[in-house]
This record gives sequence, structure tokens and C-alpha cells, in this order.
Amino acid sequence: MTTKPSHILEIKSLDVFYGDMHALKNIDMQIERNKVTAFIGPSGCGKSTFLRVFNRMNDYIQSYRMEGEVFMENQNIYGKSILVDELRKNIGMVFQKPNPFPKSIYENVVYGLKIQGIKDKKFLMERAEKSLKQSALWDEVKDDLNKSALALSGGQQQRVGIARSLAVEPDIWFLDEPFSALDPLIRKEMQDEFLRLQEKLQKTIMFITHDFDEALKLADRIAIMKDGIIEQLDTPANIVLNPATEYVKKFTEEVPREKVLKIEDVMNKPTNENLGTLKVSKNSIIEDVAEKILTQEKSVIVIDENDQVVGTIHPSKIINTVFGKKNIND
Amino acid sequence: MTNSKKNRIKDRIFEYFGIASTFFGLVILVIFIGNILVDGLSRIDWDFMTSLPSRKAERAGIFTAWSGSLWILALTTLIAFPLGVSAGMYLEEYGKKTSLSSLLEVNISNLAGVPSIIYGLLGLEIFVRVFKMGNSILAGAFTLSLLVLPIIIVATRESIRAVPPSIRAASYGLGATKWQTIWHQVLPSSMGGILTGVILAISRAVGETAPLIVVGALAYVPFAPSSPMDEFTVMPIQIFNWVSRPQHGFTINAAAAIIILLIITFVMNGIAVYLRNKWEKKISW
Repeated sequence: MTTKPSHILEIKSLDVFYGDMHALKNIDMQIERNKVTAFIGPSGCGKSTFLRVFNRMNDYIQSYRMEGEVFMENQNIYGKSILVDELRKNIGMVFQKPNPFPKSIYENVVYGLKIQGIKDKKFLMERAEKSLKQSALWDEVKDDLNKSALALSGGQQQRVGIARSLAVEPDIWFLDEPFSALDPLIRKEMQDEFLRLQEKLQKTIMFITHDFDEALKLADRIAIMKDGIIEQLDTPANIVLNPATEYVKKFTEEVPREKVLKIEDVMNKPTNENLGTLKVSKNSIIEDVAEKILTQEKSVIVIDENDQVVGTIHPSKIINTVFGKKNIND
Repeated sequence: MTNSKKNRIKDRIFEYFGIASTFFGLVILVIFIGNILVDGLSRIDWDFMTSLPSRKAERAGIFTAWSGSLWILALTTLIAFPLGVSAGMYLEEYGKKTSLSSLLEVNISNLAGVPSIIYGLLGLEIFVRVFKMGNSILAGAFTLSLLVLPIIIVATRESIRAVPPSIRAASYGLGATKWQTIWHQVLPSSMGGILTGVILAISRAVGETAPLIVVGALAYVPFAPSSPMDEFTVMPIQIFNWVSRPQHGFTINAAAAIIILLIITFVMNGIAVYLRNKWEKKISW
């Protein structure tokens, strides 16, 4: 039996131009299957363009020109035998600004299914309910499904967009600053909802954000972009601990270490030193366990998922990590 | 006199001039309508609507004229609506890049400025003679379709352009083909504007005289048309015919017919305004 490769998308020496403008420069990268990859960078750095390379939404831009190869499941998606609309049926997309169709809420959500020729009313209704529940909108609109989606508030419209993209159950999900138009309270709620959803669905997700905290909270891997170049693609901890370029370093300087790093990132090898009795998991975020550790005088035992001791950590290390931003690897 | 005082006086003068300009057209229209109503209103009754033309003014009616106008209206709509909307859709959604489409575009703008009598000559040559339709309603409807096509095309393009790109993006993003996107999203969203344009164009066609005279509608028609291949006359031509007679009775007939024609035009414009408002309320981006 052959197992699927760990990456689902692969880009080989990708260059993108808008007329004379070199929008994406020589990008090679792989997107991991069933993981959340966040793209972050200043406006105009090419994040949206990059995302739209994969579902070929840039094809409609006249001055757009592309070089290089893009593979999905080892198939060149710019190959001649690829049907663009078939490709997109497998890639859900949520846009930055809410853009409901001027139709009812129900028609919005089932549109993707209807254009695939599905007419079974019962099936459509079940999907509509399921995806509206997934986007945390069902309770608010279940009695108004035939009302125009344009009558909803901005936050609700955005969730209609999320439900709409989930209704076709795509393997890959693109989110282009999905929460930036929402007010802070709903944004937080949607982020939590996103994490719950991803735990269940395990989709391959690429999302764009301006908000580094959001990227840290939601993503397994973070790509930092600038001027059409991917400066670094790595785990949040590695981005903070080992910035690959000066730009990434500047970008992550202000990020609170304790929110990003796990105990395993800063622990020492197991030793025979004088240990205390407290045990913490190596996967804990430092912020969550700092208070507990700081009440100890001796080193704390670090364990893994199987209760095996994998390291130790001294309370002073926590203080160093939180307050002394340098030399945490010492 | 200080400069600012001078400017204020200029301001005032322009304001009065503006009011006068606004009222000029309106006053003339009111006088015209009043005049017509006084002359013609008493002449309008059931007999007038259902009588055939006659040499005697009191016995003459506008049955042939308005039924001819209705035929023309219906056929012109049937021909011009699908042609105009399809052409507008093609130019806006498909043919953006080629030099052919830019050539077409220039020519459509030019067509909109061609005098209507020229369309009449075109219709006479092509539809009446080459396609051998004769002086029929069909020939007239095709000729008027040519006349209103540019208006419909422009209205269609503008309505389609008003559909936000984000709607198209959302539809494409879900895997819709170009045609599905146009059919399910773009057309329904722009239909209000398209219909408004079509109705305004058709209501212009109903009032046209010159091109129909050229394709042969001037003929005295003693019966109401019953098929698209029949000879016909229309309201404006009937009015022209009556106005040119010396007897006073026909002048009154003309006034009465003008009232009917105005009502038809106002009703059509009213429908256009209603449709636009209804769609605007339903779709506010």
C-alpha cells in the first residue's frame, strides 16, 4: 500500500507578473496535508495572489502572467487536461469582504451543490443545515432561510460565505483574511469556532491574515511574505526562535515568547539533578503553565503523551523566556 | 462694489437662470398637454378606440393604428431583447480582448447616433426588398429593432458592469463555469437595469415615425392586422395623417390619438421606473 505524501500542494519555481510588476518571485514550497498554513505579510506582498494561484482565480486578470509549475496531488493544475471548474469544486474559498449572492440564505449556501447538478431537496437541506451549524450561524437564521442574505449583518454575511464554501465539502479550504472584517468579539468567537471545526474536519487550510496573534492561534505553520518572496515557512516556534531573515526577526521581535513556545522548545535534557514533584506536558504552551512552574523551587519534570519523562525545566528558565527575550536557547 | 458682492450677485443671477431653464421645458409640456386635453379628451370613447379609419372624421377611429402599434411593440421586443442582451453580454463578458470586439464597440456607439430615417432606408433595402418581407409588420419590427439595439446593448453592458466582481469571484470560487456564473448570478442581478433599458428603448420605438414611413407603413390600412406579414399603420403615422387633413374634425381626432399615444408612453416609462426601483430595493450591494 502506498501512503499519500505528506504534502498535498507543491509549487516549483513559481513566478507571477502583473504586466511589468514581478508579484511573486521564484517560490518553491510544499503545503502540508491536513494542516493549517497561515500567510502573513504587509499589504501588496502577494499573499492573495499566491493563494489564488492554486484555484486559478488569477486567470481572469488580464495583465496576469505565470511561470513555473503548481501541483495538486502530483497533478499539474495548469496542465491542458485540467478543467478549472472541476479543480475549484475541491477548493473552498472564503473572501476578505462578505460577498453573499443577492439570493436567500438557503440559496447562497447550496449554490455550490446546485451548480454541480444536485437537485435532491432533502440532501440540499441537510447540507445547508450542517454547514450553517459549522459556521455557527444556524441558530440565528434557521427560521429565516428564505430571507435575502443581503439583509444580514456583515458578520452574519461572512458566516454565510463560510457555510457556502463548506457546503461542497472541499478537501482544501482557502481563507483570505476571513475574520478581519468582523468586530473583535465575533472575531474571537469565530477563531475558536475555526479551531473546533478544524479538529473535526482536518482539512488542508491556507489562510491569509494581517494579525500575527491570529496566525499563532490558528496555524500549524506560518509563512512570512514580503515583496513577493516567502521569507520563511516554519512552525510558529521556529519562526520566533530561529528567524531566517532580518525581516522575520523584526516581524517577530514583539511577539510574546510565552504565547508561542511550548515547554519542549525550552526544556533541558533529562538529568539526575534534584527534581521536584510537579509534572508538565511537553506540549503545553508556556503561558498556560508558567504560573504553576513559578511556584516551584526545584526543576519541574517534563513528560510526553505516554507519561515518559523527556526533560526538565527550571523555573528560572521560564523567567528568562518571558522577560529576557535573548538567549533562550542558552 | 466689492468683489465678493459682485460674486454674490452673479450667484443669484445664475440661480434664477437655472430655475428659468428648468421650467422652460416643463411649462411648454404643461401647455402642450393642456391644449391637447382640451381639444381631444371629449373625442375619446369606446367607438373611437374600436373604429376603423374613415373619410368622415366623426366615424374614424384608431383601431388599426393602435393594434398596429401593439404588433410592432411586441415583435420589436421579441427581436431586439434577445439580440441586444446577448450582444451586450458577449461584449462585456467574453469579447474583451480581441480587436474585433473593440471594432464592434466603436460601431455600436456610432449606430446609436445614426438618424432614424437612415434605419428606415436600411430596413427598406434589407428587410422589405432583399428578404422580401414587403410592407409588413415584420419588416417594420426588424427595422425598429435595428434602431433600438444600440440602446439595449449599452443598457445591458452598463447593468452587467454594475455587478460587483466579488459576486463573480464567489461563484467561480465554488466551481461554477462562466455560463453558470452569468446565468445564475450576473443576469439576475443586472436584470432590473436591463429591463429598464429595454422598456425605454421600446417606448422610443413606439413613437418612431420616419423609419416606418420608409418601409411602407404610410399606406391607408382599412383593416386591423392579424398576422406579422400584414400591412399596417401605427399611431404616430395615423396622427401625422390626420393632422395634415384640412377638416377640423380630423384635428380633434389627432389630439385624441396623441393622448392615447402619450398614455402608452407614460405607462411604459412608469413600468421602467417601477422595475428599477423594485430591483434596486432587492439588490443593494
